[in-house]
Amino acid sequence: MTTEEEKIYISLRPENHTRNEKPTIAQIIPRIIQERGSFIDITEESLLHEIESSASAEEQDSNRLHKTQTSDYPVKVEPAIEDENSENDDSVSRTKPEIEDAKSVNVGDEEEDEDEVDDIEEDGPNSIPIIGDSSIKDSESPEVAPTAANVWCKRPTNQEEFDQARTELVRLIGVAQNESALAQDFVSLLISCARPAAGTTSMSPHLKSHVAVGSLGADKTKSKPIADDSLIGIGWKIESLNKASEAMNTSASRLRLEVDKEKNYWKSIHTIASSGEILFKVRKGDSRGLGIKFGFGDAGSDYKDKGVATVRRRGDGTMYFKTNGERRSKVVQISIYKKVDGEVIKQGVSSSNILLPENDVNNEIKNARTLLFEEELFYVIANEARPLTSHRISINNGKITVDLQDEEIDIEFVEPNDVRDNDDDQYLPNSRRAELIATTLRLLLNYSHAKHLRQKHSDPEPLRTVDKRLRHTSYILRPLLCYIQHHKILKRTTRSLDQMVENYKGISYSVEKYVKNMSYLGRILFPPSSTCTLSFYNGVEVKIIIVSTLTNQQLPLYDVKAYCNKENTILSKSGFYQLSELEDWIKWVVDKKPIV
Amino acid sequence: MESPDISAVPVEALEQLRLRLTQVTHSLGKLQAQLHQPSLPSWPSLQSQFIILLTQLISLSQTLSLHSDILQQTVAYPLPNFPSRTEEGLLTTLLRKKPLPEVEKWVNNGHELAQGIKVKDVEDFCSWAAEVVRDIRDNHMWFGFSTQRELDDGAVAEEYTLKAAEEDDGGIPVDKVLQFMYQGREPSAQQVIPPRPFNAMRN
Repeated sequence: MTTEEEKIYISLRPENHTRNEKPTIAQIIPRIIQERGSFIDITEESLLHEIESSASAEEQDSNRLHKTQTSDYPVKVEPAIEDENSENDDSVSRTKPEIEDAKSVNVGDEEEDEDEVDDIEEDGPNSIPIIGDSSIKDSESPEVAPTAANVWCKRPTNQEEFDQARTELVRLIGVAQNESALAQDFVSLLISCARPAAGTTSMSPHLKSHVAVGSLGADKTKSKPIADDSLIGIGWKIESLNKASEAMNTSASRLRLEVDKEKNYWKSIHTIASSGEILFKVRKGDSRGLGIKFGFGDAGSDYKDKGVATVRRRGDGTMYFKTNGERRSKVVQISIYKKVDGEVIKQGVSSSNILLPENDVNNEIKNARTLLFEEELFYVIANEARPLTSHRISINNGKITVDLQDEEIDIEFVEPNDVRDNDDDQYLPNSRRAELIATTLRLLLNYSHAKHLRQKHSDPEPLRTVDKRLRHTSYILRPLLCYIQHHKILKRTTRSLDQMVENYKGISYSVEKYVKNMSYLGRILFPPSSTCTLSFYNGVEVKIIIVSTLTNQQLPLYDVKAYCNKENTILSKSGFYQLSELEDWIKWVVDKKPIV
Repeated sequence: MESPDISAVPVEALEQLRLRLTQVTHSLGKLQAQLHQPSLPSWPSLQSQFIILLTQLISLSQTLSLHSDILQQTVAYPLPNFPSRTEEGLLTTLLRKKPLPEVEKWVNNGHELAQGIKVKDVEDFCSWAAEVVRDIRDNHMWFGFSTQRELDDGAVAEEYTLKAAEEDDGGIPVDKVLQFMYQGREPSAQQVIPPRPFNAMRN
């Protein structure tokens, strides 16, 4: 319990209000929302605009127009909501500009919205695009989605103005509709006295329920008809001509700008097409335009992304292309580690800096292609590596690790370093080897594409083929690894054979490395197979065929045969999986020799 | 009750007007409904709606002017069976001839603008303008990729050509390298080495 001194005394008088004069943020926010609406439409740009415009709204309007005006022609700008003295057909012509504006805001599909957000991003660093915001494009990109018709009138500068114009349009159409309906009722009621059936069909329900059919009559008067005041027509004609000329002037200057932009756009399209890119027409739903095939879909790749993008035009006329899905950025990188006494030492890293500087669209396309290729490469390698766990290949944390006893090869999918994070990587002893491994993997994926394409072009197999082996499987990791592995095994075996030659006199051996099969990609397309031939002084020969365990063959690692050339007899024939087994067997053959 | 004399009612003219008015009212109603929707209809559809509306208005005004003589001489009035006691407001609305204030302002504006202009001048101007427009239109090509002037000068549109791999800076062009990687075709050799399948590995 508190002591007397610590007791808190609470006054019953109202609290001092001066302290609360500044409302808390919790009070401010609902108030702002109530006054100004949701925050979602607010950008820094729009706020700056607002401050500016509240100071000089008029001035700003005229400035805006001058920006888009190339000729010196002074164009009178009338706000869309002026001139309310119109009835039917005037309301029609008057509403056009408003509709134009309306279109630019609401017609755009989602994609266009995104485009426009993109445009704004480039317009200035200050603009913060907000997804789903429709007011931005009106306030900040007057050149976006331009159509020749857009120039009728100035564009509303923000959502509020647009809403105003729309309300006005709705009001005017409402007035026109009302007048027209009244006239219809009047005519219908009048005609219903002569033709009740015809009249009632076009009468409004209200009139029908309140007034008896055929309750209006008419008579002819002898008075002369009032002459038409042709001046009114002339006045209207002058008014309309003025407007038409204004509109045409604005359209013309707009068109001129537009032509420049189009020229710019088609020029870049031409550059791209002449550099050998495949462009094609896109006719899919509402989206029409050009597409570009930057990927490997037609080149035999059956990766999920076929590398198709749509070509678009920016507000300023430059072109860009838009892929569906996220922007890629990662590349495949190979690292080699050496294992010494359980410690892992980095021995080499392949360069990840394989992208071009993105200073023009051409390079951007090339980069997109490279990145797609890299993604597929990693995907295919990972797929191939998955069933190879028994061969000491594992996938951990998005990294494929190949354990080769004395060394380790890591295949990673990483963000490229613009600048090599440390220059030392370049000078590591095995960096060049890592680079070569990376290149080989890429070449093999290319080869795999080609093979797949050939397969697709060849006659299909009969439906009931039992042999499924020929189905498309990729060999990217295996060819490379089985050669690396084979090389190591061969080295170990020859070392052991060297010792044996020293121990037993009268034995010599020769090694025929690999197989003689060669293709344009070197020997890598064929499984490694080396032959060691041991000759004894008495004419007995031993042939050892060494293969690799990574090939899917049913052969043992060491396929051995001992035979006597003179007598043309086979002494022994077997297969081994271990070096020690092989050594034992050779010793056995050597010991057995005197019997022969 | 004796039936009223309706012989003076211009049935033919009214019938034609009634049809036109029905169309216009219907179009306006439709447009109004569309504009009330949260998302506006697409620009082309709005545009075509306006064009339809304009055509209907033109046809309405043609009908009006065709029957202007008889319509101007006709005076409509309520018959005894009109419930004028209860529906007086409705009656005055129906028989109102005075244009809306907005329209009146517009009419006056037109009148003011045309002060001091002779009808004949306007007609002359219009026929001259129509001719000029026709001439200008005829002098332009509205299709194709070249202007009339370009065609007259015999300019041929730039042909799209694939000029890849033409640049020769001493090395092997990328295309050729790719071709080699892909098809095994050596850059210099014409002969194609048929690639061997990898499943030779299986034997």
